[in-house]
Amino acid sequence: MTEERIYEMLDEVFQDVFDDEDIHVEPETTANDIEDWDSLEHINLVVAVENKFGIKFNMGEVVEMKNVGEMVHTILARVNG
Amino acid sequence: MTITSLNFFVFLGLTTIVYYLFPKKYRWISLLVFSLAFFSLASIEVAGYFVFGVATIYISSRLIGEKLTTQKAKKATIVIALAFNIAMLFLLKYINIIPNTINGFGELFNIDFHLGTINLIAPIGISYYTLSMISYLVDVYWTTIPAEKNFFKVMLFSCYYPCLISGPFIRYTQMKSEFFDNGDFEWDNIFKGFHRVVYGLLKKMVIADNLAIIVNAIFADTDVYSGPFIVIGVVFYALQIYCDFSGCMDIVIGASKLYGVKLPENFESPFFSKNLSEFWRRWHITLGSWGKDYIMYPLLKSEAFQKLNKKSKKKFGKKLGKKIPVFLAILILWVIIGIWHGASYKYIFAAGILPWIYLTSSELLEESFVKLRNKLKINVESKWFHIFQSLRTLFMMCIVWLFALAPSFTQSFALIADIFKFDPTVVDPFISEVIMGDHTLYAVLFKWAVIVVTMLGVAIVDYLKYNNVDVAEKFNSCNHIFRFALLIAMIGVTLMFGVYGPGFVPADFIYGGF
Repeated sequence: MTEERIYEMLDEVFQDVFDDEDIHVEPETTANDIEDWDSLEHINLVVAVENKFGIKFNMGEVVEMKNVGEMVHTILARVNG
Repeated sequence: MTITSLNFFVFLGLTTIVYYLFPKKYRWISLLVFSLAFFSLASIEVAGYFVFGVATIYISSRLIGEKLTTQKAKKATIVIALAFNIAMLFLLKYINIIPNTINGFGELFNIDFHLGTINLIAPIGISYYTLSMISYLVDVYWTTIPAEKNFFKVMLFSCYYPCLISGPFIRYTQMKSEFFDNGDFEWDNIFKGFHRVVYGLLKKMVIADNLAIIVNAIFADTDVYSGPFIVIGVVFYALQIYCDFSGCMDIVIGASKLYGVKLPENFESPFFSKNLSEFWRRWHITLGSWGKDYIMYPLLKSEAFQKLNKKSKKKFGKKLGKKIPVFLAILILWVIIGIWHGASYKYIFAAGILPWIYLTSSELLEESFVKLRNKLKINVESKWFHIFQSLRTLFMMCIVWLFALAPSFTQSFALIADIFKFDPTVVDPFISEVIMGDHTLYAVLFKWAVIVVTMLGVAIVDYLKYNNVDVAEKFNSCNHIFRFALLIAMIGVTLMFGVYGPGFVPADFIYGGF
């Protein structure tokens, strides 16, 4: 799976979870950039990403993820690895 | 050794000199020696608990990180190690909640169970070091970090003495390089550390301890003091507990900076918060983020919660449905935080249930609030609205603190009802006994003027920090004469107006008791 495709799929997940069709994520996107992305929504987002890509993050990754770029990095390693 | 005592500062001064006399490679060993000495001075008779605790954490982390191959075995090991350490913490700090509960229920039905309480001595800092050790072991289990091979390094992380007094909670990931790859002597660390310690002492001894005299007088005698006394008392308590706890953190972080070891911040201008969730992201930060990472996230990601999530989405629709498991997880988190604050129902309610009610209701009502604001055409970006939001947050927190101040949970409602009573005859004796004491009017007015100016200074520093100004850096880049004069002024004010004196033991920092 290409990185580009992952970003496209992530856009869909983010738009669905946060109910906002205008969201487009970039490597530097963090929770500060998306109004509803707070600690209460973080796990909902993570689980939605897991379901979309058919992967599982471990808890360490869930806690340590600092931005979308890191998330993509983990997804890439998981789906292609 | 309290943190405002002369002994502490002699200890800090001597250990700083010895630290830099060690070759750089071994400086961390000197920190371990200082920490063990500090720990032993406070609780040598119960040091065994700590050694056992750190040994279980070390052994299980090596097993999980290196020796065990199956996930099942790793899970069993971490469960046993965590259960052991949590049981020890509970036994030493919170066991009395059980007999107290049974006796309390008995009283309701007029039965005297008469269960005795147990007074076990807990090692200093147990509620702080246990959580830090748990985070280390869980991080190894999650493969966020490799298991540390050197037992003494894990021991230093667990008992680093500045954090034993009242936190902050530290994580191995953030502290590893601070402890073991550091130690260059830099004047910058000495200056910044010293400034921070002086600032902390000013906050603690001049503001918090002076306000404490009034707060304690009011809440020691709520039969006498009602109405405006309770309102003033709780607002003063808000300022007191902030200056006390954050002042303690300034001293601790500053002291650690002298060794060049940077500790995480525990407060980021909480009183400027626009809402309560922002307040809790800025107040006792390391406790909140510990709870989020090691309790709330794992709970929400667990299979049971995922099942609940699916069910509640089906039943209540996507929007509300996904909130219900989150509300349950934060209820569990806040109750645990409440218990951590004290083994009594008033803490479970004040530091647990009430914040949970606030958070869930603000989540549920958010949309209605937005509609109301739009209808009233309120400019949410204006300064006045921000001031209103900060005052509203403070008001909500004052209710929390009223519950914490009440002698017990059942008496807290009576205390709130007392706000609406007033006995004007107690005003004169209050002024003459509590405020004036043996001093002249001039001396008292001057003292309170200094305290108010100091509070304004703290408010300005916090406001700048809230707006992302690096105040320490800014102060460092100021003119030498200005810096020197301000430092001398801060030390002078602390010496003259700080609550201390011959034979007086400075009040323990409020959070040192947890």
